[in-house]
Amino acid sequence: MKKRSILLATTALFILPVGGALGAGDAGMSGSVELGARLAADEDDGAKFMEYRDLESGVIGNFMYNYYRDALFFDVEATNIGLDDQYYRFEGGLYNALKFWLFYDEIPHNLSFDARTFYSGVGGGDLNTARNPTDESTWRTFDYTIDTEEFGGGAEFLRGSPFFVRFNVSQQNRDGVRPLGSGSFSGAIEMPEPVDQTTNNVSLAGGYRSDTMSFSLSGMYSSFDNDNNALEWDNPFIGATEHNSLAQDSDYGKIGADFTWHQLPMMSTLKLRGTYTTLSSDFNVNELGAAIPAGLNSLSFDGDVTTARFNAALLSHPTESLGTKVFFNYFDRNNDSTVIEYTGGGNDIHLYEYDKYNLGFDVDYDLVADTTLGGGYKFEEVDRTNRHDAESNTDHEFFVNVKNKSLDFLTAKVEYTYLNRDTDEDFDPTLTPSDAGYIALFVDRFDAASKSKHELEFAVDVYPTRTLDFGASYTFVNNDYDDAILGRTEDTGHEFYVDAMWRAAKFLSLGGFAGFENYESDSNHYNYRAGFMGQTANPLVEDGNPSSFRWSQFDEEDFWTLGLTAKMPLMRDRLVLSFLAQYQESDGESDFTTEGATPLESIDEFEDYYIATFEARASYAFTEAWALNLGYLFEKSNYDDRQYEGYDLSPGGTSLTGAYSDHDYDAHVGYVTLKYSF
Amino acid sequence: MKRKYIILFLLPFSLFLLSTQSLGAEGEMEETAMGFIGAETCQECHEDTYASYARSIHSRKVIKGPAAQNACETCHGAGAEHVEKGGGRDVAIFAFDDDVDPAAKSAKCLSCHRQNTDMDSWEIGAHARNEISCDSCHDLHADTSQRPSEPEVCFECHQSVRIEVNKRSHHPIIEGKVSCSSCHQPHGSLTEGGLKTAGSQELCYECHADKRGPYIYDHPPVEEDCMICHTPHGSRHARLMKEKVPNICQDCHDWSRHPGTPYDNEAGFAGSGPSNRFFARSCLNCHGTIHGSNTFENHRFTR
Repeated sequence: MKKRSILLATTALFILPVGGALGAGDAGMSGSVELGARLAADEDDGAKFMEYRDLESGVIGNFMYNYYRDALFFDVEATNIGLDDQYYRFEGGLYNALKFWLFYDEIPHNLSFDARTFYSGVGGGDLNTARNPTDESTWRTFDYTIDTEEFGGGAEFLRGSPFFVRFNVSQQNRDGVRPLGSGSFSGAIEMPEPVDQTTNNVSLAGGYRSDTMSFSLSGMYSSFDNDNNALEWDNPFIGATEHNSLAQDSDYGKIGADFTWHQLPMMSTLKLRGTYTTLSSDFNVNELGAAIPAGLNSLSFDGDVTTARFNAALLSHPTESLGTKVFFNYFDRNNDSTVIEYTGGGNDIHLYEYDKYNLGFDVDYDLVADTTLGGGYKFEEVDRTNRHDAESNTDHEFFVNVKNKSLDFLTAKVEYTYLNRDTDEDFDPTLTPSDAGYIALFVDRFDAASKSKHELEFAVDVYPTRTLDFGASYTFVNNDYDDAILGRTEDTGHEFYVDAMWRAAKFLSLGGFAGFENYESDSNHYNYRAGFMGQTANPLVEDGNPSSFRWSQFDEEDFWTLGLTAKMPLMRDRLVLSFLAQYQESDGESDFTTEGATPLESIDEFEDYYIATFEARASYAFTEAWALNLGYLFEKSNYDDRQYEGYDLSPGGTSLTGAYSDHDYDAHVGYVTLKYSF
Repeated sequence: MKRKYIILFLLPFSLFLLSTQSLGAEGEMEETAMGFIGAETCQECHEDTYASYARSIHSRKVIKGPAAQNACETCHGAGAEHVEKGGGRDVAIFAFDDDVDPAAKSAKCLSCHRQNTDMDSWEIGAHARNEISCDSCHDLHADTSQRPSEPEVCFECHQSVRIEVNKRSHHPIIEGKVSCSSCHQPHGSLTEGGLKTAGSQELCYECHADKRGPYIYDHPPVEEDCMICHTPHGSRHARLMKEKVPNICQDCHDWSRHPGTPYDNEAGFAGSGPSNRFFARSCLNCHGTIHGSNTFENHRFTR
């Protein structure tokens, strides 16, 4: 068991109220101690199976404790004690007066096991060539994994009074290695990036609350510290030492104010919120170790980003059958960071700023026969600085829906939403097809491009008896990027889901869910190289040059899943059996059309995978206090993707480590625990 | 652990211990009033229900809850007429049944729980506006805690999210390391999607502080909304991407040299023309600082 776990467990035992204190007043105590063993086997030793959990063989244990005496209460939760995904929470206080909490949590994130590299110094900021980069047999192995440890606490005072004060403090430590890609046209390198980061957060809020209004002020400060702000590495392709920038230390601050006013005329509620944030990061070019470009205008970078936000909403019920909501939201991001420039380059046009606001209304009106008609409109405008393909966009969004619950055993809803986005570009009007930048005029990026969007949603819930619930929903979404010449031109999604719960008998509950998703996207592209063999920068014109051609891509993905659950309380609930079976499969493909001389071959292995899971549990209570639990988990996954098929650590001009290449697993886990409840 | 954190940890304990000396149970309200029959009468017919109530936090007289007021009748209303009419479901009594007005049910709870700091936005929130009441998620007679079991209770309505969190790439929600309420405020929020924070980026940076910058070289969509490229609950694509790399990159970067080059089946390791723009992590093989770069010389997110 880890040192910190011992400290936490010892602290918990020390502060737990003893049973003898139960004698006085209104008091109670309950809890459980669970101890057992687990046996696990994975034929493929896949990191994906253990991505966020520790399922290694060994001892397992959990602990719960709840205590109260009069106004005092105290709860303890400890799960997966001593494991890599252990969690502890202590919570206590006085009802109507005070509440405090402490927590400690560990989250593993296993990315890939048994990755390989010719570097020494894995986990540090200096990667040196220690083995022959061209002889993989000499490379050493390591795991791509990041362990996150988070702990903290907080308290809320003056509970039960009109005033309140609340504070939180926490620290997050992340430690491990993740893949980082770098390189140049001379060769691409995948490297182990060191992760040794600490984030400290402190927040404080206070306010006043009555039956008719509330007001609060809040503040937050967060500091991020990275032990490795730069990575120095040997580049075997050019025989030189190179430097990469990693995440820099930063400070973040936020202040905010909230105001809520209830019980206004027409049963209205008004809520207002304003926040202001600052984000800063200062560092010097010498800290990164990289060569200083000629003509650099500043040796230091002072990062300074501020945001201001205001939100308002007014909810009203002018009549018993009419509900309305009007809203306004504003956001402004200012970037006052140092503009870095040097001879022949820099970011003089890339400091990104934008502001946006939206306003609109929603209306719900109760018609006859338990039918509600709803609708609404939202207007949004976004203005961006230094983004020429989308200097601004204006959105108009409408929706209408109908809900009906006239039948005792059924509720149904249908909703249609339409969005029209009109985007303005800001390109240099003097550009001509002979200019390299002219091609950019034809690129429309889907995140901000002009488009029309249609969304249709249908949902129904059926509950013919008190023991049977059934739900189904279907959603259709289509985005048509009307003006796009190059880039994504259209995407369409279909989603269909059903679920059911049937409490068939006192000793049997059955549940299930199923889903099918289909997604398609179309995109147009132009294989263009500025100034090469007389190519033109106009994709609307077939230039007849064999080195440039227009091509398009069509991607289609199908996903379906099925899950079944059963729970069987037997022998007057002394024996509880539960089962879960779940299967999911994904199948994608990508097709091309081209005007080029060489045909393009479709990709059939396009993130195709399946995951099959089966889980069984049995819990037998010998007495009211003692129970034996048995469990078994089987999970198998297979992944096929053209980008990983035939994985090679050293394909031409590239040096890889095996990141994300161990996709498959075939795992069995069994466990037995003895649980004592008190 | 640093000393300042030990001090911060101990502070609430100190306050807590001091408080125990000065604070006690609140005074109880007078129980008898017109039409009220008392919990013992309710118990005569509703033995199991009363037993679960008696084990719940609502039964503790020290809180300003039902036990300190009119017990069962605090929430269900005075029971005399119900008894006179011989009882029965919904007969002259307020029951938290499915066919009862959700707003009326929630109003019962809010008469006490309005004091909770996160209830200010209840009326504004999507749950209240879609006729979800407190008892849709909370078990009012639970043995100990009335906290709903996440994420299962959320999945009862949010079918698509249940599907998504089980996909191959997902946040650790089913592993219990991230709960729905880690990101969402189920009791109402001004933010779209019922988020706890004023915007989605603020929320993401709470855990992913290394991505927040500021950067010498911004990647505009990163600064605008993480959700342009990522999806929060789960995805069939690695790293919670909305679309596969390189496709999502080429949907925007679509001209000049390799961004405008097609990478087909032959560009894989096993193809006739393997390309490091396609195989393995594709664009990320070189462009490793895609969220923003802090190198002084513009290397297009490769340094």
